[in-house]
Amino acid sequence: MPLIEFININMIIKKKRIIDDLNLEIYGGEIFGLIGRSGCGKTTLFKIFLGMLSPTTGKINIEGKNIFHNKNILKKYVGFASQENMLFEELSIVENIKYFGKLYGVNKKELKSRATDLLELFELYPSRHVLLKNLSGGMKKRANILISLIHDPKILVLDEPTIGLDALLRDKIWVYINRINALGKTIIVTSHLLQELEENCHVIGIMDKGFIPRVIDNSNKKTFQKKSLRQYMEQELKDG
Amino acid sequence: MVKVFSIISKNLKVVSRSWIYVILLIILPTTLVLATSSLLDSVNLSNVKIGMVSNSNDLPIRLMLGDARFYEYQSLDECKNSLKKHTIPVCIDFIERFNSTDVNVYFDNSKFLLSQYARSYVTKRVIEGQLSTFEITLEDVLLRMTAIAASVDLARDELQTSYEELLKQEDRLLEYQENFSRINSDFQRTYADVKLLEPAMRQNIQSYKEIKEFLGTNLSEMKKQNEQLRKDINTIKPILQVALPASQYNEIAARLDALLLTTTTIENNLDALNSTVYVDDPDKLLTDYDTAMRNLDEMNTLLQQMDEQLDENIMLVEQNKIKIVEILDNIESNKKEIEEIYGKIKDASSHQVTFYEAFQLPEKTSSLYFPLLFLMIIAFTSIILSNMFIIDQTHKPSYVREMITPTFDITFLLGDFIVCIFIAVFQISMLFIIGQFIFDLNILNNFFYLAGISLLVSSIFILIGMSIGYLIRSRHLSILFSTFLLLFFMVFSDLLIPRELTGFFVRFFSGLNPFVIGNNLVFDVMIFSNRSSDSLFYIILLVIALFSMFIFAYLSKKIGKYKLLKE
Repeated sequence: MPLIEFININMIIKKKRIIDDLNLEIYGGEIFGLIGRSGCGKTTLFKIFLGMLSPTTGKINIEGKNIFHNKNILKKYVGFASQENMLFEELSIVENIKYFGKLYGVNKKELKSRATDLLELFELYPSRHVLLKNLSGGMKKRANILISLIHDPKILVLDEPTIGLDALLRDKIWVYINRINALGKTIIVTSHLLQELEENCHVIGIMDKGFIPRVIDNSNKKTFQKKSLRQYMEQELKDG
Repeated sequence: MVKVFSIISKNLKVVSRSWIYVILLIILPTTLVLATSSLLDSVNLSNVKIGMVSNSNDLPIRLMLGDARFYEYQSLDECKNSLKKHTIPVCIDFIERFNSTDVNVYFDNSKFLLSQYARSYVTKRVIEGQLSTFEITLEDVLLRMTAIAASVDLARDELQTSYEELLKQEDRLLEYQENFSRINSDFQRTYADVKLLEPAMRQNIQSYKEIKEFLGTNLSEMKKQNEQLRKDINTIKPILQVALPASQYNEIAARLDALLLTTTTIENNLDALNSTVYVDDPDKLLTDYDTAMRNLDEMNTLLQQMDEQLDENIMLVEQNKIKIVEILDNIESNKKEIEEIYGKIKDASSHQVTFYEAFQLPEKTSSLYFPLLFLMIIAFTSIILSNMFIIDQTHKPSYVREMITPTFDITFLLGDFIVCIFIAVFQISMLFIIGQFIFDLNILNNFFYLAGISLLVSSIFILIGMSIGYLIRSRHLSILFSTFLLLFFMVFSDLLIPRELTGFFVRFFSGLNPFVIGNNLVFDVMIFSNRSSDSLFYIILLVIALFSMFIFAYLSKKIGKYKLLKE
């Protein structure tokens, strides 16, 4: 049984169809990579999935339950880190952790132990009291992902987590993503870089004009699949 | 030049296609200009509420103040009480002196601008009123009254003359009545005698008639016999001539001729007698006598009537005399009244206007402006800072992260609001310290009251600023909008024009302005340490405004969030 089911999702904003009858299944423990051109509807799909927007029609089930019936449950299930740093620059990492932990309703004791684990996981423990504005870009990215895990969500949504980083830092971010995945979290990640998706995702969905025409199983991360994916993408770009 | 035009064209397109630009750059300034114009247009000095201590002789001052709005008070204390509550800016009391009226004007000197307007208004109207009354009304009235008084004098003299003539006429009538009575008495006597003789007269006329008939018959017989005698003589005469000798005959003939002459004389005498007898016809005489008697009766009746009319006329003259005396008395009393009114009007023109200040103001006059300054700073700080704070919040990417947490919008709203209040509290505390120790105001004695009011007003402005921050995402437009709104609040307050001078609608809406309400609540307490009895009502108004603004801010946050997610 899939962990997440997108069923006939349609989204029309200002008479423009942004999501067009989208159907998608994501299984627990997967790293699901989503790729598509700018304006193809990725961000809108994420906003719907995060409960920030309601679709015009359709529903999303998590573990078989329609998430639109109780958005607060959804928010506890899902963690989100965007490409921008969604933290308070004027606060330290610990202060951000405490703040968002309280917003998610995590109790003090649990928050403390979880914060320590995550700080160690992301190798930010020594910098925990440094104000965010004084951290490097890579550390901010890690802190951003760290905060999105503070309420121990089952699903982590990462929107372009490596954008703006150099190759070394990008690889490092993927190391952390794989570590999180190893903790049993299902991860949905978007990227413009096909290669890093090919190298790290179990399943890759290709989104175009508001729907996902093709989902490729990349679980073995074999070269022929990468090749076929690349070919597909090249063909799509050529057609577009 | 082409480039300039293309830049202008681009700018116009950018501005016209952004509804927020249209609102901020065109609609809001236009609205502000129109609203301010309507505010200024509604300003009228006659809108000044004038408290008037009831007095029966206050008509002249009411006429002078013309179309002012009067509020009646039974006593000066009641009037002054309202003055101290700022219900009215002016209270007028009259004290009547011997030949003048003191107009004591108490005015609300705590509101400098308003008191200046009120003072100048009353002074101007009283002076104008006095001048116009003196120059136009009073002069005219006095002239008219002088003319009326002169006419009354003339009428009185005329009536006096008439009265004297009436007296003379009465004397003449009485004399005439006396003469008439005497004549009438003689007539009555004669009339009675004539009436007494009437049967005898009628008998005599009848006898005369019979005698006349008898005489007529005898005269005719005598005339016949005389004629016969003449004929006989004439017959005898030839016979005798023949029969007698001439001498004898001549002697006899002479005697016969003498006899004939005598017969002629007799005949003439008989004719004369006959004509005498037939001259007065007895029937005519009787008719004439009857007529004369009838006339005599009528004359008697007329004389009786004349006597009665004479009595009546004398009575009427007597009555007219009494009436004239009464009229003269009335004229005299009316003249006295006219003289009194004349005097009163002359007195009324001399109103001594004295101004009294209702409040004992602090030594530092500048302290009077502190409450207004205090409210201005609170309003400005609250609206602008809260607006900037929310703009800053909503522009951070962390705002989106906050949105996806399982936290209610109202929780964020409360959190943001309390932070803004905290900033405001700092400002308020600083202002309290300045007010207390630099301006010597009564702040510490009324600390909780003032703090409560300040927080209420501040909260309302904070929520307004927050709402704008949520609704308008553009930083500069949001701040500009807040500034415009703040300008509205300032314009529709006592800052520019005292509210009391404005028209009903402007006054009503500016009365709902939290800035104005706050100023009303804070002013008396800070300056006079005196809490108005209306303060509870105004506090309730502020609380209602606070709750309304909280709901509005909540809805604004929802709308702003929806707009952000749709981007």
